[in-house]
Amino acid sequence: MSYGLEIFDSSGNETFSSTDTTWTLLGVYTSNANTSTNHANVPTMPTRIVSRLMVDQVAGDDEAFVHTFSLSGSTLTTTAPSSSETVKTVFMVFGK
Amino acid sequence: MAYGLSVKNNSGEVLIDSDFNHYHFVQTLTHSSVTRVPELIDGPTGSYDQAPSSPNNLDSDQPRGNIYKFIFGSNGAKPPMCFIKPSATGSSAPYASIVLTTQVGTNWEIWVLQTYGASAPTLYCFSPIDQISASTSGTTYGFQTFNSSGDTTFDSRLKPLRVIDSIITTSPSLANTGSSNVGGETNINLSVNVTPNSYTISNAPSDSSDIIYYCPSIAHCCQDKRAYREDDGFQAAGNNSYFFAWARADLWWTFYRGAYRVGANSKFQSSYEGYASGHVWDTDEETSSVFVSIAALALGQWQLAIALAVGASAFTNAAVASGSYYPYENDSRNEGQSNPAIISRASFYT
Repeated sequence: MSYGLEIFDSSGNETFSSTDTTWTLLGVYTSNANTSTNHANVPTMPTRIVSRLMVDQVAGDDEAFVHTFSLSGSTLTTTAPSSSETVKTVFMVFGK
Repeated sequence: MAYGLSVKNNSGEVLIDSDFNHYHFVQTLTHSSVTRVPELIDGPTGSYDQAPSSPNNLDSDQPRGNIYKFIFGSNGAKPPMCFIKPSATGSSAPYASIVLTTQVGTNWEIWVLQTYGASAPTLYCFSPIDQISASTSGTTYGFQTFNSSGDTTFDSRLKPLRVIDSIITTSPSLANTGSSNVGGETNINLSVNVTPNSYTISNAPSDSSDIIYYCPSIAHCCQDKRAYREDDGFQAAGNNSYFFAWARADLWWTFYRGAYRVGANSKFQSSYEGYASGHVWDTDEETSSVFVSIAALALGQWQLAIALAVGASAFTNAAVASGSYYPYENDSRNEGQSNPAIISRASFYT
């Protein structure tokens, strides 16, 4: 590369460079089952994505809705689509 | 930022920010156990004079994938990012996805559902650096950043996560494109036959087997096939001749979870894999002139018997949550929800 940043290990193998992209973890937020929750103080970056994990096992007779969400500014708004069959959801907010 | 380090690329994307704990590679994992949801089967198995006594098991076209369980030691509240390195890629590759991530004591347990019959996948696991106790082997080469408390937030010696692409995915509406009512047909098909949603992977290596992906499953769907057969008539047998009537109803269903693969031409594909499958049936036969019970079946009362049989097919004491896995009929949940797939390369971490 003619400009930028390259980082090598002691064997000369590249471990990271500015030609890579990555996602930095900005925060982890949990919304409990069947409950809508607003999460504040979410750090900002130019680009963010939200990955969801259904934390508990999907039970055999459960409709298992995942929380929906919107991310605006420093607030992550999460909504339980069902008041009885929305699973506990972990939100991982990444930025770059 | 008032202090510290922020590294951006030409697009203004942040690559390193010393304020945040970056994900770093911890280890590759092989599964510690494998299981499947038990077959969900219930119905009368007696012999009949005229009524059919089969099929009494799952159809070969009812998928039921393997569930691989992995144990990841990371004592912290932030979940690991475990990338799936599939055992195969291409147009015949199995679908696989993380269907459960849960903290058990000081470990995280990760379940990966994958098409039955394929070799087991491998996981490449990453944790935020504040949850890593891995050794840096005494090397003093590399690059570190620290936050305002003096804690390390990035360390090149621990192989920070490098991403080649990220894709916003959704899941198809349903896994199987056939109709529910199959008339009197008992050779049913609940295989995953929907066209997958396909996405181009940018910066994909020429060797697609090098691709690893992080995209936990959130979508699921449940579909069934319903068959109904009946007949009546006179059976001539000398002094033992008799009138007969019979009816049989069969219900097959499969519960699918959203799953992914690296398809042909390095396309990232979103579809489903079977998680649980069941088959229940009810048979009624009369060898007299009394047709009351048969008429009831013909009028649809069999649905009640079938519903009871679905409940009876549930199991307990297995390695997965008990139940019938028939939470709704011919529909899906969470399929339209955006689900980011983060793509990297296994060779970055060897």
